[in-house]
Amino acid sequence: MSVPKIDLSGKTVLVVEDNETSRVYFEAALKKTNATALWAKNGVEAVNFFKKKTPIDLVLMDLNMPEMDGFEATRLIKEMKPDVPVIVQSAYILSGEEQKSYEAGCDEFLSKPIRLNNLLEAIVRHLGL
Amino acid sequence: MEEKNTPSRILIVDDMPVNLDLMKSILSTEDYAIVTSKNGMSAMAKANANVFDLILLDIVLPDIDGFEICRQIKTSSKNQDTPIIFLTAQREKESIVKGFKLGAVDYILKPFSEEELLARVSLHLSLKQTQEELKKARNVAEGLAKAKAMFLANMSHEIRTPLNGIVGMIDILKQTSLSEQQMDYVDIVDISSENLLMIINDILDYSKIEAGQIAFEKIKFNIRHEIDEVRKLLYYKSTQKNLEFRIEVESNVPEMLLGDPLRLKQVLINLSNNAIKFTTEGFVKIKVKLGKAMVQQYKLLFEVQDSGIGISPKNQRKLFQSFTQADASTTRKYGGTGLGLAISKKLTQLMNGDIGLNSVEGEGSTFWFTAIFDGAEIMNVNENAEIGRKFASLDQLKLKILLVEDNVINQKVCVLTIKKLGHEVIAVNNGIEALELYAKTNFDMILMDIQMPGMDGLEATEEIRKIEKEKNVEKKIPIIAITANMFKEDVKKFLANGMNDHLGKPFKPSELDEIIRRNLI
Repeated sequence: MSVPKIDLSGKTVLVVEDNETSRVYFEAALKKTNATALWAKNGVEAVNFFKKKTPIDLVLMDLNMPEMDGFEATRLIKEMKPDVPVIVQSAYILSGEEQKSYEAGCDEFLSKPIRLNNLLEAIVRHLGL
Repeated sequence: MEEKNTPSRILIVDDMPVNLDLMKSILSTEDYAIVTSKNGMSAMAKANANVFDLILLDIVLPDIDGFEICRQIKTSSKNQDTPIIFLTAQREKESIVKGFKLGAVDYILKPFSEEELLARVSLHLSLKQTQEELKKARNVAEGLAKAKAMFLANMSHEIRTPLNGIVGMIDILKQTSLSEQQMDYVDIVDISSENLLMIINDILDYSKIEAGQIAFEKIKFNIRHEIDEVRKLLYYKSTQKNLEFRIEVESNVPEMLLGDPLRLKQVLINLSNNAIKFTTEGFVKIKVKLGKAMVQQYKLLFEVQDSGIGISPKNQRKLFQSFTQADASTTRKYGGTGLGLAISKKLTQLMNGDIGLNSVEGEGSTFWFTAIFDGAEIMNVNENAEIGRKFASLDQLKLKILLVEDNVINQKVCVLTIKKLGHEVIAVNNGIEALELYAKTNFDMILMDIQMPGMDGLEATEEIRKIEKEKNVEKKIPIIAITANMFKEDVKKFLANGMNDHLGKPFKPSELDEIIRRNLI
């Protein structure tokens, strides 16, 4: 497997994720692309970035998180910034999470585990590069 | 439980004291608790305050008539499920039918015999009891099913979360500089985690099939490409065990078919994985043959042959049952969930096929299955389709698309998605508008909802195909059904109606992109 070289210099990606191992993975994945990564541990932190008008180009959103889950956070973010792509990434896949995510306004649903290739491909596609 | 000892509670409503007394005395020969009412108001008050096991209800009462009381009892919560028997003086067909329509279970003609009254009351009390037991059993079963589904969903999540770390870091690790040996080791970790994921998916799949929740796709696919994917997947495994791995697809097997290639591959991979697992030396061979060509349909025969340990006739019979392997020692020695063959059997049944095996202990096994696919003409799609699957919309493709969708929100979402993919889109609300615009404008493709007011998607498609025929249009416009109906029968109907393909709602942008590319003229 070869991963194509992807350059996301100048792009900011907000990763919303409460699982430490997954954070390490996403961090390593984004580091390769030179993207700037911002981190949130739950929906509230994620929404706060947008309330403070932090420039963000794309959101990677987990679903199952304390305080505010990914559905609600996606809905709120899309209300403020409908053009910022939100990629939901979740290990919950069996109870209609995919459909609920789309109803919340997400642009794509990736089920964990996510291969690096699929992750980068989705990011590139939604950034319109 | 002591419930049996509680006497059944019966409410008798009749305005004639003589009747009330008579019924009371007849019924008191049994162990019943009797409550009586002489008019409608009192009957309603008692029914609102207590739960009865049976109600005997006279039709003609001084205040509210029996029908009205019946209606009100059936809509109130306390005695909704209580059987009501009407007491009627004449054999009036109309009032009997009316009583049944209002929810009564029976009627008794006055004057009645003692035996008849007792028999009918006892019959309906025992029916009521059976019904209650069934209801309880159903509630328990539904509760269990719900608990099971929730358990599976949670377990899946708990396993997938650490797997995300494993699989992800494997990919990251592979990006670093590794020695050849290290790379081999990482590959093994990679394959093992993919195996683990497969087992989880097996368990979940099986549960879904059991619950009848599996949706089969109907898409065009190249059978040789799909078989080659199976080969790629299994080649490494078989060479590691020094097994010869071969694939033969007979030349009369058609190139393009309609069906669910993922499910087909799932069965093939299941059987091949087993073959590799139970073979220590020799070969594993996949053969694909054309079993029968019918009108627009092909029955294919798939064989997975190995030179492995074989299976005794006694164990062969157990093989396709859930959670069963040949014997307990198999599980110890080779591992596995014992679900693979049960899933394969269910999947082949869903592909209108069959599954079986021929095996001689110590000499090897041949597992075979059949599946029926619809034929699909060879497409004229450029090579980009394949690449497009992986890196969709990186290469520019600009089409003019007509979207026919009546739901405002769906329309908005769909328009955004189409634009995002780089295409031009015009949206209309129903089949009539679609036809008008189709006549005036040149489109490359139509995305068509099925259920719409005015003219639905099927009618609109028929009209468009008719116009194309009249005008001798050479390149028919691709029409894609977009619908929440994912049933096989519906899809068949769409295709028979002149639609080219279908996409289930909700869909991902990548799915839309793939559908668009797949159906380009």
